[in-house]
Amino acid sequence: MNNKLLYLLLTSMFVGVVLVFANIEAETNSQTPATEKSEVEGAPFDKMMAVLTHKRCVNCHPSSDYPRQGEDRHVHNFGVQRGADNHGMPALRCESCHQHENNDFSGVPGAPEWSLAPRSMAWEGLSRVEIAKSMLDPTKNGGRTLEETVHHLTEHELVLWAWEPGVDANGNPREKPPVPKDEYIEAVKAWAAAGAVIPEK
Amino acid sequence: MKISFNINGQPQTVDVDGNTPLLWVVRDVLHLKGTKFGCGKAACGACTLHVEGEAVRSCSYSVKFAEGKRVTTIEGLGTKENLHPVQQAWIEEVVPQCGYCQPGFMMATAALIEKVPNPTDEDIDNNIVNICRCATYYRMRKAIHRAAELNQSSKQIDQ
Amino acid sequence: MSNSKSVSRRKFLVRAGIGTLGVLALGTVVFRNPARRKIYELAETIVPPYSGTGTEANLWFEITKDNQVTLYSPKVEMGQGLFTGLAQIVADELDVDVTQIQVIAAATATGIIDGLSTGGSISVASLWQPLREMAATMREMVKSEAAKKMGVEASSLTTSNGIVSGGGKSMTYAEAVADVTKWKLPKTPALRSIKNYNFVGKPVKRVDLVPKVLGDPIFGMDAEMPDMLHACIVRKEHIGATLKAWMLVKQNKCQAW
Repeated sequence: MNNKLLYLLLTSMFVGVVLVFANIEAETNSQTPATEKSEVEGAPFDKMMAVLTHKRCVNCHPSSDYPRQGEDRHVHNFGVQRGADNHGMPALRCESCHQHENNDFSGVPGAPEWSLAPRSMAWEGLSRVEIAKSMLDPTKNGGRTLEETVHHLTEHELVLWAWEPGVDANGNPREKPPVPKDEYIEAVKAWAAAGAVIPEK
Repeated sequence: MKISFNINGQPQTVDVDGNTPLLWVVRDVLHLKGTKFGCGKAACGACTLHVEGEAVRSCSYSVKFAEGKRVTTIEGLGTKENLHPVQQAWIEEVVPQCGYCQPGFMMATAALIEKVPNPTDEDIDNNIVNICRCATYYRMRKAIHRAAELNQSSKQIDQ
Repeated sequence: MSNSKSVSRRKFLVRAGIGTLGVLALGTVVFRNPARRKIYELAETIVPPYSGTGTEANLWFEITKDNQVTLYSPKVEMGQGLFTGLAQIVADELDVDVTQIQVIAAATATGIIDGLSTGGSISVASLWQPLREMAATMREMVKSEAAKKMGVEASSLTTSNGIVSGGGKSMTYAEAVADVTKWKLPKTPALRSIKNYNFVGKPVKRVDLVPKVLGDPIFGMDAEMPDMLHACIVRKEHIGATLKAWMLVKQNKCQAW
């Protein structure tokens, strides 16, 4: 039985009746998060870009004014929009629902500064080379130096949320990027230290 | 854990698990039942209230985040004798049917007209995305425009 | 107290001082004909068992001390505007303004069990006749008490907006019925022509607007009872899953769910 159900049951009754349905235990046990082993072999650039092109990143780096969500990257429900400051519309802020941490009861994800990347940082639909070029272009990356870009990529809490994505509304864990966090951070730093070279493709 | 905040103008301290949704604290600890549970996953807006004047879906808002903040629920929006412009407009346009989702809509609207004093239909579409099973949307739109008018004129009187 | 002989399918109950505010309560047991019952069965799937004795009122209203009328409805307001419809029906025969009527759901604790439900689009249709008869009967009873207090003939009195007037005098319904302990139940008066009604058939603002914009109404989920326990249904997550085992767990303290 999954924890959410159990909580619901236990906490709402002084004397609770716990029902166990056959076939469920085995099913839920198999839902443990993916292994922490990298699914990506190759150069630091490859590992870094495997993360940055993952839905956990791209969903909030859209090329439109509509965030995307979910593993299938559907347009965010309810027609929510970017708004003037990338934090949503005046009375429908990102913070109307998204708080500073994941809410695993309701399945609403959260992290500090939950918001969309500015329009200039749109990644959706770009190739990994185009994304990397955009990341290094001060006219698009918010005037960041390489050092500041590395800082954003490796230390910004909203970025690192990708490895603590919580569970969805049904209690299922969200998919994490294909490279473990430490390995990704190492890859970003190694790539930057080696001159931040962007390959041909 | 002990959490203190101001609700509808009154200081309150509750002793609950910090991860309890603010909605449950408001309803079950403070017995303010006007704020409704709808979906429990921030999708329907029935639980909308204000935290520091911002519309928040309280089913997905851990009470620990409310520490030291100002919370307003439908019970604190207006009174029978002193209706909030949104409530006045809701009466004039005869919006509620079953009424269950209406407090959430009214709280969302109250936040909207503070930030966008004269909302267009597009502003309404972009900001008020709550769900009403009775489908009172048509009258709601009229009432939102009316509430904005009433709000503007009440502010002019205040000045 | 009751005079069931004079009314064919209904019994009127007249009780003084019911509740804390009521100074006059008039009620009727509405017996449903078999066809209606069939519709109920269809509408509700499960037939609501009638657990009363058959003599308790399951529809009644009261005149309160502040000259308002409280109508206890055995039908459920679920947004369809039923309470407003009932208020319109009552207002036109009782001669009160629709805003003087508060319609509330009768509590199951009052024994009003049979038909505490709504469905099949029959709520208004089924109460249309009995409510008008009750309202008209109550109006005549109020007039008759007013006539005694004012020392005039009841037939010389007129009623409007909850006030009885005649011979240069007037008093509110509440004043007319105050302190009355013995009631004489008249024959059901002739009902008025529908075309003379002021509220029925005309647009009227919902009677439940103010409480609903204040967040006051108590929905099922909002109800709190002493020592109330909460329960929820745990549904199986997979088609074909069967119940394997269950156990009782004592839980003394509520946690964040």
